[in-house]
Amino acid sequence: MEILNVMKKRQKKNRTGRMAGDQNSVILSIGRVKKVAIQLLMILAVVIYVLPFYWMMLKMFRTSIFAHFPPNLNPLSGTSLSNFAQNLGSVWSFGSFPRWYFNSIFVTLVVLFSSVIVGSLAGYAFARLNFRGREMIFYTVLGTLMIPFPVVSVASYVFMLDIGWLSTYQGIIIPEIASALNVFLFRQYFLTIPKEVEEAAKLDGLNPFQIFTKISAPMAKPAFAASFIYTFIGSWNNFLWPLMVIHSKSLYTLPLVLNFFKGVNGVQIYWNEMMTVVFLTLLPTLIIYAIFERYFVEGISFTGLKG
Amino acid sequence: MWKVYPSPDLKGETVSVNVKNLVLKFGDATAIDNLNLEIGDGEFAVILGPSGSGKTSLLRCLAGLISYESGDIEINGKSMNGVYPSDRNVAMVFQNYALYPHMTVYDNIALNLKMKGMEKGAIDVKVNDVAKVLGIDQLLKRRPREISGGQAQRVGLARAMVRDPAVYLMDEPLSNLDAKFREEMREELKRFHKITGKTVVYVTHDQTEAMSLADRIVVMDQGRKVQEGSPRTLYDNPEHAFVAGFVGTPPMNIFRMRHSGESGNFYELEEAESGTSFGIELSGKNDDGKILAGIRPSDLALDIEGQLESILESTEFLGPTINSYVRIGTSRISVAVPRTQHNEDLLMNGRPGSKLRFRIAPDRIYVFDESSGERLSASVSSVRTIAKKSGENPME
Repeated sequence: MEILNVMKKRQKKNRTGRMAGDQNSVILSIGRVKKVAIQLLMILAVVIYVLPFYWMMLKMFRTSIFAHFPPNLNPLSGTSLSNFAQNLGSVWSFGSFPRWYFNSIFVTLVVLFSSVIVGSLAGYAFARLNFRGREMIFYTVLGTLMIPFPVVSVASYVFMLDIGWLSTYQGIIIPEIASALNVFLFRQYFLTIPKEVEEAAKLDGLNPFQIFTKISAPMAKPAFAASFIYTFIGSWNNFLWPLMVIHSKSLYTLPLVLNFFKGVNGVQIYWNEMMTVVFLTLLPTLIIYAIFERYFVEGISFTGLKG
Repeated sequence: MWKVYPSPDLKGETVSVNVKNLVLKFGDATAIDNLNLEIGDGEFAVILGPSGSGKTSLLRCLAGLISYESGDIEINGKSMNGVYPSDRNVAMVFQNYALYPHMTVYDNIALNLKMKGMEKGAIDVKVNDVAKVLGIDQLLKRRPREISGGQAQRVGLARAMVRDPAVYLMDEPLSNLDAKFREEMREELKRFHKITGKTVVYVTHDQTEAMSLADRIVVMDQGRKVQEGSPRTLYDNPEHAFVAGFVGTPPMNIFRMRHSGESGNFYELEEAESGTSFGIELSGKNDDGKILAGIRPSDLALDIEGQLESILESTEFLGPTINSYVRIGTSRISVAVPRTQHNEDLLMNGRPGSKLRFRIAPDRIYVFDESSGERLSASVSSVRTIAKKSGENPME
């Protein structure tokens, strides 16, 4: 009797098992369609993102100053290295292009290092030092993140005018150094470091500044990487503030130069030369991306922000 | 476990640690409340207490990591108020190891010597010496994330040892290790103390650890010192119900007892509403008529003539001893008896719910005042069974 029961149960199991299998295969085929659709969408997205770059490259290897529609996307028609050299030459000798390039690099480097140093020190202070009004000051700093730049731009401009910093390097650089985002990012990271490690360092004879430079800062490498990347991108691409404070051409940075190449009031745009400038502007970002690719992803996933 | 005996230079001066009227507050909360403590030269002192008792805060005060409201800490007779942690000649071992994750084990151990400006060659000799002593010389090139918890704690110990401090401060150094390894490290710490002869202040919530390591235990509760003394003193003569319930495994059974209302000093179990209960006759008086009676599980013995009638609940076999849980009224009581044929028959083969009688010597009952928890000077002169419901003879 018992054996019979067991056999019945087994048969039942088999039957339901097969049915489940059939269902699975149906689900699988739906899944396959879904997969293909998603992949097609992704390919489309890649095309949309890559096409402008591709077109930029084509333009930079051609001599035609015009932009046609639809564009000629044949990579072999009208492209040559000598064309590129010619474009590069005319861009490089245009106005004081080397100086502008230097301006961009100089401003970005100074902003980058100062901002990261200031941000990490301030973030550390907010995370670890005890002083009166710490929380209130921190949330005030954090609150400035909510204020859009255009709101403060006029006041900043007037301030620069008053202290005579218009059209100076310090006028472009100094207001960019204090970054609430960096302060916030570093504070959050330093808070995740166990206090005991710093206490051990105190017992090992390090003073508070040494604890920062020898222990806490090296432990906050991911925060430094993220902050470096964001600050670099922000400063290198910064357009609005330099546009406001720079009135003399000799201090132009690359985003302003690009704007200049775009032409004013219906003047003919030299597309080949403009795309060469675009390429030269992109180049440092591409190099940095290639070197720090790992940190880009880490930095974005660490902060949960988009650059 | 020690690969090599430590070189003689690990033996340095030993010092005493004195804490005077220490008060520490976090905001409005008092973490340490007027604490006085004297720890002698080369003593292994264990601060024992539950979490939140202020024991780790005390250690941090000793190390100079937090500043206190008032009071004084003296190390080797010198006041440490305002002295920077590294200038106190103390070293600390942390519960979570607190190694520098971006440095190799070697650099972790060597950092302090580097900061002191010691020569490279001398640092090398010292680090290797200590690493050998602790059996971590194979790990010197690794980073903290590449070693196990036990190894990490040895590195933490090495980092402390290499400085040859006068006082070692240890903050639950074994509680992150697994049970078997914890015992092994405990033995090592004992040998470590014997060899170096240094003053150790060791914080733990584990009474077994405290009992096995300490020359002296300081029991703390809610920021106050409850009692201090040798492990034996605390076990045999707890001055406070808190100590009685904290020291010893399984912990002491504590009963709430009330004055019976009869003339004399007879107290009976409070919770018992029906069934058989028990009462004790005190030699002296307690004013408010409320006392706590403590009985160690190992002081109870199975005896058909015993004064305590109970109901068997469950039994744990631990090899040499048998631990049982029995019930008297609504009180759950733990009993620890040696493994004998008689005990096995009754406890291990007995059905839950069966009635058992235990004998207790009256002088083995500890009596505390209920409201303050303090030990009473009165002793127990007799223990009696009380039948609550039926007309059984109380003396039986």
